[in-house]
Amino acid sequence: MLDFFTIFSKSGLVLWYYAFQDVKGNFTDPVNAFIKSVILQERGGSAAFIHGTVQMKYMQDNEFELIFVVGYQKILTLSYVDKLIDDVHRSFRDRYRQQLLDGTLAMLTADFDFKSTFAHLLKNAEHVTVLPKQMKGFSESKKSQKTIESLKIKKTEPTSKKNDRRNSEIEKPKAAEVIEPPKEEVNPDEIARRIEEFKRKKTPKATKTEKKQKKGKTGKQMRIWDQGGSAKDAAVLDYSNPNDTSSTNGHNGRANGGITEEERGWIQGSQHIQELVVENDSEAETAASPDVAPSNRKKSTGIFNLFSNLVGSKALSKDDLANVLKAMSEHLIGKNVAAEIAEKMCDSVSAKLEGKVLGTFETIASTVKQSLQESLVQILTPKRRVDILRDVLEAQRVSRPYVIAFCGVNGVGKSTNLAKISFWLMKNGFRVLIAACDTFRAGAVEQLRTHEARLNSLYPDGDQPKCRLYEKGYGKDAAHIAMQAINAAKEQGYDIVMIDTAGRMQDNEPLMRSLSKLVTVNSPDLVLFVGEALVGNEAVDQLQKFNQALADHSNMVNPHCIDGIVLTKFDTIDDKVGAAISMTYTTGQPIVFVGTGQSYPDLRSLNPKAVVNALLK
Amino acid sequence: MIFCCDVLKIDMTTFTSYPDLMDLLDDSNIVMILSTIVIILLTTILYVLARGKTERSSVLFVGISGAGKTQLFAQLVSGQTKETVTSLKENEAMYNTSADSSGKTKQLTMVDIPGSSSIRSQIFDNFKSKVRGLLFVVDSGNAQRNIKDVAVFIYQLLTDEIVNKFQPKILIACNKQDLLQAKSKRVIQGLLENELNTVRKTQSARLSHEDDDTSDATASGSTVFLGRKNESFQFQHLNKFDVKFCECSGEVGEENGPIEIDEVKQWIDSL
Repeated sequence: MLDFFTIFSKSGLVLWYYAFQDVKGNFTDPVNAFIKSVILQERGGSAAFIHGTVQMKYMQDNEFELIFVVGYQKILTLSYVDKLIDDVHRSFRDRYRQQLLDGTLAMLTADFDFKSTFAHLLKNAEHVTVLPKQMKGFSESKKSQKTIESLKIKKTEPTSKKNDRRNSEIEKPKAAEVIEPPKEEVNPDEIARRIEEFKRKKTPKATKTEKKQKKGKTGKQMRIWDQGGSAKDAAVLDYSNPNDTSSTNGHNGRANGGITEEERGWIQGSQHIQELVVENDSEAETAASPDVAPSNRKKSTGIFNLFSNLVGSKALSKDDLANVLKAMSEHLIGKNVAAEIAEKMCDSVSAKLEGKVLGTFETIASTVKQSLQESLVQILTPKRRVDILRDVLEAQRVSRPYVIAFCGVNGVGKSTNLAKISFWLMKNGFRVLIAACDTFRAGAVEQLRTHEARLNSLYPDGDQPKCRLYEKGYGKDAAHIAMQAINAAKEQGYDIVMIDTAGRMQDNEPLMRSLSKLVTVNSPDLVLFVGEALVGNEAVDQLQKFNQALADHSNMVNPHCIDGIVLTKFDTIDDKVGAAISMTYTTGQPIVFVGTGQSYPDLRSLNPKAVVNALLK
Repeated sequence: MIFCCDVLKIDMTTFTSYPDLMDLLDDSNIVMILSTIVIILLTTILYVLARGKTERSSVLFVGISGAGKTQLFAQLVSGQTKETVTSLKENEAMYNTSADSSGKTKQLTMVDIPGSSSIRSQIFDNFKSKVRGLLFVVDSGNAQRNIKDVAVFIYQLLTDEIVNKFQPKILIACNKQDLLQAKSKRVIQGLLENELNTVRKTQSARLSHEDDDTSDATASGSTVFLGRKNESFQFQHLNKFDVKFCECSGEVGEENGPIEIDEVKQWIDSL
């Protein structure tokens, strides 16, 4: 009843396969999808995977670098599959051990004639009927062997076990204590005394009001509220300078739209977005202490393993890995990786290394560390091409604007990073339209207006401004404003539309629905989730719920989910860079930008190796 | 050297003055000292030569996922067609080139680097220091759809520091010619040159491997401008690299055409 069973090497060569009705095409697509989502995304901890109607179970042989995959229809529940994989693994390994050890050329030329053995094993597995568990009779249970004495519940005091009579004596005084307090209250004197106390408790309020009345004789002071005022106060509250235009929002004394000389120097900077450099030198001392514990462990296992490896080859067992992986997992959590992500990563590394034969002079800790490093770099490296400038040029070619939408929870830096990205795009010669779709937060539109003014004075371009803000005030529907902004951009020839949305909590359902509506109606080219690097375990929850909301409320067959992540406030975290891992692992989407400060040039691209080095230091 | 010392030791005990030492250095002693020095020199030279020989003898199969590298690798190395799935690790095997005019065969290491974006740069870094020839495999049937990814990968290869240092010969193999919709090598060359023209601008504006220095002299090629500045990009303009194109097919096609990898074999022989 199996759809297919394949044995392939990790380097891509299929050594043997069985396909139902010998239809070859049946297994390449599911297996490729399986490899892409499970192995390449380091979700190797779980042993099952579903692709369409096919459920796949798999097993990794790390000694010979093979993977065994079985696929069957997911509506069937086959109980013998696990045992079948184990049997096939053992028999294949034993039979072709020599060819597998000889290397790639041997694997290519050898003829793995496994069909008959497999048919035999399959028949055995199918016919082993797993008997349902027989119920035990009473005579076989443990209860029938207990004596009545042993069933009595005794007090935990050691004396009570010896003398039953003493037990009954202890029990009686306790019962008497319970009864006594109610007897006391029946006493009438007590009742009167308590009523007096109760009254006295009430009176302090009366004394308070008396005190108030005494003070009132000096006359009531008029209370001045900070936010209130009347028309009489207009003269006091008028901050406007008659020489200022409205665009400076009341800032006086700064000409040129408020740009200083230093800020004007930002135009001279390179057009590149520089690569991220993670600080590690300054933290050398503080990092030394957490490193002591794992390094001690490394030394002890290292010396021991050195001698054992000189003697013979050693295969890694799960217990060997468990200790080292536990330490690694704690180290990662200490670097701000979400707890469940650290666990899953370590499970995946353990699945990859179990049964592997160590070479000489290789220690368990060094192998684990190297494997973990490879997995982390693999997660941080983008799975698809990330080149926004190229995509903008492509959109320019078909004369439509490239639309980028920013979403995220409150206070992560959406508007700030939107301005930074606009600065970079303008430096590369594009015209940007900013759509103010945050119609809720006070000052959101003014904030974007200030950014627009500053960006325009940094890149003055005749009468056609390079950057323009499209806003419709507060309280309006965000999706509608976005649609109008995109149409305006198309008419007036703007290359890029940046949509700034309001911050929202991930479990606020109406707001999630409205975000999903904005994305569905306007179909942006890029939906960027803005997350701050300070976040810890929350990152996983935020991303999951945002993705879920975008998928659920979209009513489309292929919903447009989050395409990329902007990691902000990176300058605040020193080397605790784990949030990057949590976010990319949860969504599988790349980190497109990293924000490292509050001024316009503070935008970087992610360097996976540097981040992983800082993480594993 | 040891017997030399023994001989000298016996004499050293009776040594009294400098002129005696000069006598000691005559005859057999000088011959022995000179011979040991020559032996040491010879061994070091041989060692350096031997190491130099095996240093760069790899041919790396690179390309995006699904181009047909593993299939082509299997064909070349063993002559057999095998089913393949997406590679997770590299394939490495020795290959003997056919005898050239003087009858010598070379032994080269063929390495098939997986194409998935998340692992290819890591694995490529492990093997790039031994590169002698780069075989870039392109899926001719899906050329138009994947052209951007292919162009970005080629750009990254051509601007890589170590690749620039060793300047290996490059062959761009237009694979899967057995498919009906496969494009010819001229068409693919045109498409690539067009795309690289744009990519060289957008990629250099995107990355920088330098930190906070705003100087443009970066180490790893983000300001290496491929080709000539005011002309559209052409592979001929690359004076550092020798880029050739060829067509091949690693699998039996629908019309049961022959498997053509002769051009690839010839290029490998010429390395």
